[in-house]
Amino acid sequence: MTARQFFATRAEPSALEIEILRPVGSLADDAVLQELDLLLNELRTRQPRAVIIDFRQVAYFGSSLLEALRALWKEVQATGGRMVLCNLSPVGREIVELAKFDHVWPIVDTLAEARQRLA
Amino acid sequence: MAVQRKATMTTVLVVDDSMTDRRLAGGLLARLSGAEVRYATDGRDALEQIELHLPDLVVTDLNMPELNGLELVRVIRQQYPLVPVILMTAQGSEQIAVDALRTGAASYVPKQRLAVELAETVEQVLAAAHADRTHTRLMRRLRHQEVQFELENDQELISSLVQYLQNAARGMNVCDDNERVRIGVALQEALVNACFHGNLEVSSKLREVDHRAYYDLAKERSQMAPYAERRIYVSARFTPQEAVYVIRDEGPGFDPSQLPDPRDPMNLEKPCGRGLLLMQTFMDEVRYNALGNEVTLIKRCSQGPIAVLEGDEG
Repeated sequence: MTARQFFATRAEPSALEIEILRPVGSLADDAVLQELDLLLNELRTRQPRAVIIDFRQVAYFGSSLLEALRALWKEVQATGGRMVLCNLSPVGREIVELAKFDHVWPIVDTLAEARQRLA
Repeated sequence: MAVQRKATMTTVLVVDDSMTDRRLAGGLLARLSGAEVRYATDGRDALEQIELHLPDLVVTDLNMPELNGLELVRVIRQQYPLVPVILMTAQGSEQIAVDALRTGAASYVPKQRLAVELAETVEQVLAAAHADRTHTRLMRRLRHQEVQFELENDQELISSLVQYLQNAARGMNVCDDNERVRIGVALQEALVNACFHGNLEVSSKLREVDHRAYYDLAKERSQMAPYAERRIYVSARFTPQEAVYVIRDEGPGFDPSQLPDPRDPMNLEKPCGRGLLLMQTFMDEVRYNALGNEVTLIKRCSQGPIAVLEGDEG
């Protein structure tokens, strides 16, 4: 995993894994925005065919993180990739489902399930 | 004359599937802190015992059959938030221990250092738990609280205020820990809206095209008149029945009925409306003033009183 504050990435054979490391209160925070831009660049360079977003360290979040995911998704989608979410808390799952993003990004319970799904 | 509270013996529940480790920890606790020690063989057994007799503290192993230490911490935090949990960690279980601390465990002691560190850790955790309980007892006697804030368009202050307002509602027993999280999400959305769309007048339409341009414009305006002088006014009123939050910005206002429904598949790609959706979902009532620059969010108490701990009836 790369050493970052908000989004850590790990390139696995089947997918690029992105772990959300802490709650993202607002994308207006320079540190968050910089890391998001780094991540978007990484996606443009690697063009992974699949991305896993791992929420194990974040119990809840709001529309700012959804907005960040939407930006990531645009990059993944541009190269025909897939995106799966895992390790969501009950509130986190509720938030994603409320926004109907579960229709676009499947939610699975664990990282292992996410890997299996994308294998 | 000061009234002395009845002195009661501290009860500690030791949870471990290894009888040797269980007895070792229990023996140390009985000898060093004079506590009454009870035992459970795994997480499930522990929960049954807690239901029968609420301990002052749980000391648990991490790797156990049935319900492991991490899951046990999670359940205790939800159902018995005032009972602290100390973990006994074996070599190789450091990552689970970190997860358990994040989940709400009070502390941990490596198993190989039990004899040296357990008693001191227990003392520290019990002292902190006693202070927490006393504070909780005091807060349950608070009948009315009102606060007012005037904030610059500062994200750090907003996050800190959200935490304060969440904790105030929790302290007044308006909500449980789960609802506290939902209140936090709703307040964060309302305050971020007041800042970006209200005071700084940055439109979500720009974010739809380029998120970087959206935040750059917000940053520029936060230093520029008239946006920079605008403030966010927050008032909150707490009673045991409800928490009422009023958040007003100094922007031109907006018409919430004009926002697209973010649940409509046609709007999934659009970045607008999700904040309001979260506010409406996580609060019992959300209403705007006619101008659309002031939102009132209400959370009503939906639960009975939290279980009263032994000795907490006073």
